[in-house]
Amino acid sequence: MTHVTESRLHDYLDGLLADSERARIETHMHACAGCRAELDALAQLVSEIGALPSEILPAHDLRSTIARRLEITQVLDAGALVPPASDHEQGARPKTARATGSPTVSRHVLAAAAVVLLVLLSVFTLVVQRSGEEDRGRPILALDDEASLLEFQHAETRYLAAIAELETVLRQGREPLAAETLELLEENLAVLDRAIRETRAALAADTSQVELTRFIMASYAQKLDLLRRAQRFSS
Amino acid sequence: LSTVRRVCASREDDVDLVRCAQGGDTAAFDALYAEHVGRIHALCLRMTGDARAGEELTQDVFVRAWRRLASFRGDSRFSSWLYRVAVNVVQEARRADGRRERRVELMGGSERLPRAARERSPDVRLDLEYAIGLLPPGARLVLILHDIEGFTQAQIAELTGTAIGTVKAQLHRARRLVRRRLEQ
Repeated sequence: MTHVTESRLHDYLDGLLADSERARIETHMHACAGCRAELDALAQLVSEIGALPSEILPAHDLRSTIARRLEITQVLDAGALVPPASDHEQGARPKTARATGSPTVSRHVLAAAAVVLLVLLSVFTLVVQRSGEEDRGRPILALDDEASLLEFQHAETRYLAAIAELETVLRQGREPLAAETLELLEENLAVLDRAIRETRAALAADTSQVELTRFIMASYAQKLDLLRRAQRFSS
Repeated sequence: LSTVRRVCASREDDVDLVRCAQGGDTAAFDALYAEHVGRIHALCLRMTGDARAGEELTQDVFVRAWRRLASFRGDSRFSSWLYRVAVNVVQEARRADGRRERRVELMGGSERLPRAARERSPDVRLDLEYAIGLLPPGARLVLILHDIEGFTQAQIAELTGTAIGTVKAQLHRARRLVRRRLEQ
């Protein structure tokens, strides 16, 4: 019998061979010291790897960070003007609006969004000012600031990637948006961009105001929602 | 609600804990975390080769698990479902951050995982962890899943979305590379 191939040795060890094939290999092993040594070495390696710990606890308790991240995502979910449409939600929407995606519908939606955004902007401007004047230096969240800011950076990167992707999709949309709709969309986006810019500046001036990250994240969520809507209309 | 929480807190069974967690009971999710974090973190640590990145990825897994908990129907064991979430997170992170893989290779990887492992498990076979840390990510994932976690090749193919032949080839290659490294 020819020597046992390496692949066959692995299969033998992993118990993947038929009985007849196993018997043939075992017979060969009795007569071939080389193959036997090879099998022993491989078996020892697999055994040593298998003895490595399958559980390694993290050096830090991650529960508080996970809880904070979940809290942030809940804020984002609640902060969106309209949650991202799921299949269920799309099914519940009036068929006419969904089927036509008419500029009239989109104009109304975007106009309503603009009003809400302006209110939002006013509120957050007040909060930014308030936090700057009255609460400066007092962390709003009793959390580890460095971890919060890292988490914020992480989430912001994801938002920016999603927004960039949607903007690309929008540019390549099958149907260009009506000029009036586009104008409203751009106005809304400008409001949001201004909100993000100003809040970021406030955060940069005082990184202890971790609460500001929520406003920024909420603004990103709004922007993403608007772009999603626009993308749906254009396609 | 407090009654529900007391009931949930008294259950040690994953099925009950998952049901409670699906109902919004964070204490139940906390218990699930405590039970599974070791395995999830071990995978994330070995795949990133970096203590901090491993912890971040572990967080990602549990955040995603919580958010998708409603989609768990109990058709499989919760541990399998969670592991599937973990493998997805690990694979997405790999795709999103090719730089990390290059960095591990360029730095030889040895300074990263062994140090992290030493802190947690003094008796761990550092030379073996070192050699595993140097494997290409695809082969490393298959080796961890098969030889450490005990998944079958078919289960790994399903978990990773690859052909079973590819899984087998990666496993054999991984063992070959580890052995070669240890013999050097």
